[in-house]
Amino acid sequence: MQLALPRGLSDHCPLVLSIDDENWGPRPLRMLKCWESFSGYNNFVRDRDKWSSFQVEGWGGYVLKEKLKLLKVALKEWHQSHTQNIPARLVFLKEKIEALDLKGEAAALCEKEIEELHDCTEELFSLSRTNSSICW
Amino acid sequence: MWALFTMKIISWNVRGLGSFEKRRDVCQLVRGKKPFILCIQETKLPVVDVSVCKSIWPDVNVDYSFQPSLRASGGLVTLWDANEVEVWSSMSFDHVLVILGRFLKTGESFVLVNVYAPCDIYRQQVLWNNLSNKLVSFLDQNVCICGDFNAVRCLEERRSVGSVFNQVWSTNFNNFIEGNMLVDLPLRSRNFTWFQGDGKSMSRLDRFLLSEN
Repeated sequence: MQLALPRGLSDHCPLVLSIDDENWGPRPLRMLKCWESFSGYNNFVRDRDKWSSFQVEGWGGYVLKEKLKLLKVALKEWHQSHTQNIPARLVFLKEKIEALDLKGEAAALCEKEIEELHDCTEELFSLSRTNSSICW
Repeated sequence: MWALFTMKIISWNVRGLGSFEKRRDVCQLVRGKKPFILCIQETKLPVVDVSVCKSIWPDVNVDYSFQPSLRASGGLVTLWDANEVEVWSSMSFDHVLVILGRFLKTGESFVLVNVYAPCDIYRQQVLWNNLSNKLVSFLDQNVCICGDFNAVRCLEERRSVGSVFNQVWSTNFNNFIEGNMLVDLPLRSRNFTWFQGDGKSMSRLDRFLLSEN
């Protein structure tokens, strides 16, 4: 990008050439393949939940464009609540399992705790698979 | 591969770097824009020493190369932030100051040509010829040529009262750009870079030209 600035005391303007690899114009939509593996994703995008809930007036092309824009925002929120920060959630699950294991060593776990342990283990495995499948 | 990394270069014909006010102007620009490299045309200084460089670029570890002015005319200086840029050689011939180096963060090497072209058509053609001969030795390198070319590419780049547009002048310049396969970047924010100050005469005399790769 070449930019001319006010000339000040000279009769020539200073020119600034800057090449910024962070400035590539509008950010493209990023879609993570692993989103599909989360339950509720398909419903969220396609069916009742989002796409049809957007109310846009106008001709077809405009409606499509606006709906895609709205979907991008909705996807961002969905991503934040479902898939963001997987490493931290993995740590959290491991700690929780560890705590329940230790508790089980000391005394018998109640039914609710056993169920929680199962759920945590299941989620840990599924999230670990997802985490390693993400291609950045 | 100019497009692969972040960098900033400023080029400015300052019309004399001798006065305190002018140096302060340049200093403010540099502080605001934080370039890696600063190319100045028309220093009008027979010698550019460390104290001049420090006065216009005080905040960084600055290094420089200069071409003395001929009496009170011309003079080039190229300054760089030594923490961002390493320069291993510099050379100078009529109206041209070249530095060869690399950007430290990316390792990308470059050839930077600082130009202050003469304002008559014959001497200018000599410059285009000399420069073209030189550029042959920089094939396949990232070449950036910047400065005051004292020429416009077409009628639209010049607005003036009383004088006639010289087509041959522009054709020579265009042949130089196209013959060396240089990319002439569009200018943002305004159409002209030089103003006579009467509100009537203005031209686009300054630009950056980049090699194609």
